[in-house]
Amino acid sequence: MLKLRSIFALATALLLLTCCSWAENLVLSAQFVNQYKDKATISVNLEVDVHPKTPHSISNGGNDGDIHMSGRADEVGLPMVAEIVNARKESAALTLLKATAQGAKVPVTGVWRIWFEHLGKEDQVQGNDVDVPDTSNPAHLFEIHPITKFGDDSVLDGFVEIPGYTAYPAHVAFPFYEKDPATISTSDGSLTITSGEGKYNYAEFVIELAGAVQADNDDGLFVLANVYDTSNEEEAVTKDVRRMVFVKGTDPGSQVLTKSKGDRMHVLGIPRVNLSEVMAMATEESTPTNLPYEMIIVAVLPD
Amino acid sequence: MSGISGLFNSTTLDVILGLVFVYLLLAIMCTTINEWLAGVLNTRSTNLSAGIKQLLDKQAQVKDGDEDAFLKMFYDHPLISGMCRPGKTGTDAHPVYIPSRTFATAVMDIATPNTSGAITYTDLESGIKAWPDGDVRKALLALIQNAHGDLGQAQKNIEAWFDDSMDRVSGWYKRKTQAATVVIAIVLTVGANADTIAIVRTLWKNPTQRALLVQQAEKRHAEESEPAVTVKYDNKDKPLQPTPIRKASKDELDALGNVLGWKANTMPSDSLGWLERILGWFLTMVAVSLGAPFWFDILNKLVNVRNAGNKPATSDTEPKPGTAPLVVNVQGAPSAKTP
Repeated sequence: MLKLRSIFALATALLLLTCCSWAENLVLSAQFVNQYKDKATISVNLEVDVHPKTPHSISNGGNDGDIHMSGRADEVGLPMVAEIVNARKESAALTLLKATAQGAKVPVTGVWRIWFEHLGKEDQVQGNDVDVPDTSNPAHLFEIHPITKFGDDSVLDGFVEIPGYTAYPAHVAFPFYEKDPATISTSDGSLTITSGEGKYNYAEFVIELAGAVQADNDDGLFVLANVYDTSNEEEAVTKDVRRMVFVKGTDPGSQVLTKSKGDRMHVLGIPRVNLSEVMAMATEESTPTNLPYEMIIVAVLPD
Repeated sequence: MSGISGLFNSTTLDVILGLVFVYLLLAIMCTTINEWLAGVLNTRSTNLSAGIKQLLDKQAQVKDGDEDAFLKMFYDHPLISGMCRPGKTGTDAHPVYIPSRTFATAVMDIATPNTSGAITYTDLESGIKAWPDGDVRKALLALIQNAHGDLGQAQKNIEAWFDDSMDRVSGWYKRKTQAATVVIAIVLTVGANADTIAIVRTLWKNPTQRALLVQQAEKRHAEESEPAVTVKYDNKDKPLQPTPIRKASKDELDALGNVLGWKANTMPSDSLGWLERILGWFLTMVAVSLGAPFWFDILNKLVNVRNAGNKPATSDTEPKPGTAPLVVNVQGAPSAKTP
């Protein structure tokens, strides 16, 4: 009886192992990571494949008023989408998008974003051939989100509050961001990140600047900050300071430049993997950790 | 439903959790030893060196000259020599990684020694054709002929040639690593007498030892917010400079005291006993070969299942929606949400 139970225990373990081991590997070129880990944005020549005719409706969750397009770019070499926030404000960009034929290339600049939200069934390896997507939202871990320039049209003015949109509160979103498990390793010029499904795209929170704003040598601004829920501005929802990413020329970017250590801002943000931290912690040993993240600040909200 | 709940609240789950925890610790040791050996033996740079030699040897620069002349010129090129570790020689000095763009640029530069300024496709083609017959000449001519006169495409073809070769090198490395992992797992398993069957038996019979391992496993799970490796920002005014911190290892190995190790009173007394011992070692060896991340992930899932089972239900008889054990299995399922 004892042996039967032992065998049953092992069989149960194996069954659980099979069921529980779903996660996706993202393999990035270390050269790419080093190039972009401390930059806010990326510029690509995007081959636009599929896009919806109209932006998302606005309410909550995925109904965020964005318009997104699937496409491919040699500079990225991964399945990807690009998104314009507050798309209804950007009529020129929308007109250009509608006029863009499938497969046409459009120069796009925007905030690069890696987030394990739209997992597929296969690992995503940078530089491998990318299948032509047949939907506007294929399995992808890489995004340009938000776009800052589409064609010749600057959409920096879209970095403002999305009217009518209810974002996830910090006390819901950040506990997930803080404990999202991942494994990280590096070898032979590549960086591998494995994680399960990410969520909580848009979060509303209060940041308290913990240091000075530092600019990259392009169009990004970075600052470390403590994060608070709007309902409790005494107790931080993050264990330590987190890095906030701003884009020069946007409303949040302009406002943060007027702030100093200790100042607070009520903001709307979306998470992305913090490649700078990933690179700092990556070793040849595959290491279990929490997925390092940072927040892209999309809008400053009213106090 | 009650059967499943019963299972996940039972001794069985604790035995599985304890076993997974043992596998995790052994796999961590195995990975550590493997990486240490790879570092000591310069496995990566040795493989890369062999891969590059396979690509670039057998090419003289003058008729009947040294067949390794091109290979030597490649390593003497400033783009490549600049990547070597200073003060070292041989494979100790060899870089562990060469970007394909750097490789192609160095090869094209060597092929056009008399061209100053920007080179053209014709410069490249005539430079390669000027070499005596050799493997590299043949390969490069084949590559650039497919570029149809486009220098940029020629460079891309050379980069792709290098990348394809590096895929093979990665394959060599993986095979060596896998082989080393198996050998280390065998040594570790037998050295620690990590017999899966005996471990399960001990955990089943010994509630104290079982509770100790489960406690350690839960502790590790609870420390998920303090991962094994994290970073901090020493200077909060410089968000572009995170500093890695390695946390000290814990005393978890102490908890293994009664389930691992060679003890006189647990030695098999007959051939059937030895057969069972070997089978137990084999199971452990296979499990350890799966790697630490795998077992860490499983450990977290199992603790979640265990904790879900322990939570009080909304009614006396039915578990709370969303806390059923199968919920943990949705991780990684393709999302239907929009971005």
